[in-house]
Amino acid sequence: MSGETQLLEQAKAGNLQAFEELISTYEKKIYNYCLRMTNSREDAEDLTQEVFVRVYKSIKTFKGSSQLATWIYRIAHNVCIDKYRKSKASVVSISQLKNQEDEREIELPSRSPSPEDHVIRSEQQKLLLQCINRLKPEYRSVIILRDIQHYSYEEISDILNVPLGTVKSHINRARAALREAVRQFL
Amino acid sequence: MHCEHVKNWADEYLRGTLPDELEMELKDHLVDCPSCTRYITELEPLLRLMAGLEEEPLPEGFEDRLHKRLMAADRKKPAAAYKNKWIRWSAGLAAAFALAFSIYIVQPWTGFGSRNESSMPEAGDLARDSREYSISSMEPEGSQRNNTAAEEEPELKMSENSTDALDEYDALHKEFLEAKLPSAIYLYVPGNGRTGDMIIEIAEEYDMKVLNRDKNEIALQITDPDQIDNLLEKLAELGRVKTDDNASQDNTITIHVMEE
Repeated sequence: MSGETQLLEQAKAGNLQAFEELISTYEKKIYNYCLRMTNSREDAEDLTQEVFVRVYKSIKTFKGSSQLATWIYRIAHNVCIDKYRKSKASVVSISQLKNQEDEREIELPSRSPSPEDHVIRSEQQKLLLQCINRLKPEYRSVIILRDIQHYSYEEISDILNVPLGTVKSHINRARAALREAVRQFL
Repeated sequence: MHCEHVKNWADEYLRGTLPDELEMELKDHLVDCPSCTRYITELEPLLRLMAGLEEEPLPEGFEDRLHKRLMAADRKKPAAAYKNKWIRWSAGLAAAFALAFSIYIVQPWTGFGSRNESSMPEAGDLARDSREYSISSMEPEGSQRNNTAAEEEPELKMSENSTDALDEYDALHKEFLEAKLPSAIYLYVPGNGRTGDMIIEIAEEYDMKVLNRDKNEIALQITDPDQIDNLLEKLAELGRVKTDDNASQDNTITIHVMEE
């Protein structure tokens, strides 16, 4: 029996220590997923904790028909979607993202060469994250899972419980919108 | 390789993680396809920027805060155990009072004499007698099957001050009643299909009574706060879940199946 399997059995039997050890592998990844979905460290921590509390409460019902990581990610995705719905965050469709005026708080970096490349890059990444945050959640999640966390199409399909074709379609459309949005400052 | 495949593999190609054979096929395709070449060229800066997003560390103290929340979740967990404890406790208390009352009523007729005041029990004697019995010994018949679970739970013994146990019961019962159950759950699924049947199966699995079933609405009776967490997790496997902010007034939840 592998280490994770053993911990899982102990966690299902109610062993909190085993559960905490089991989830330690996933905490950082889930936190970063929530962070990229919300673009807020405060929200990301709150949501990440909510995810693992929900995992803890229902670990006994986990039958192992899917990978544990897939199951945890799916809960994380749903928690983020619920948060988005409650906050009724302002989001734009892909076509609007292409045409929208610049509303960024941070000034666009100058196009002239600068010795402080890392500062520029950091600014560009902040702008990128703002653009990602303005995508609809279903496009945001696939971009994060594929282009930032590097999961396969099949894994993303399992996590989000959508067909493979839908995953690829959403990624292509999200990339197209982001390409247009970042073109101005890259 | 078709243009559609180039789009699917572009990110892995740019990251250098594509298998050699696929990479060669893609490169061969790019030679004769200016459209895909332009796509790759335009995608590269974006993917490079995203690749530069470093994984952030967990906030300081994260695991301690999570541990506290998990402990709190653990304490709230045993609503089922509470229910069993409450049933055992209340049955025991009722039996204790019934026994004490019957002793009070029957004793004058038991042949220990006529109604001799000296044989009448003192009020304090009755109270003392009832306290000699622990709750576990007062369990009514039929509860023996719960003995295994009962052994794992702390026994509620009648204290000298019987209101202590009553206060504990009141606190637990209040917590149970005040658990905020949402009045509605919205389940967004790609196609309705068998979703309704699957929800009924989930309800049966967790002993939730189905009160009503219309085309896209199913009303369930919730008797245990833990049932709602199990229900939400199972529904999350079917589709996207949203809960209503309004609290249920009568421990019922209506699941609305919405097609996305």
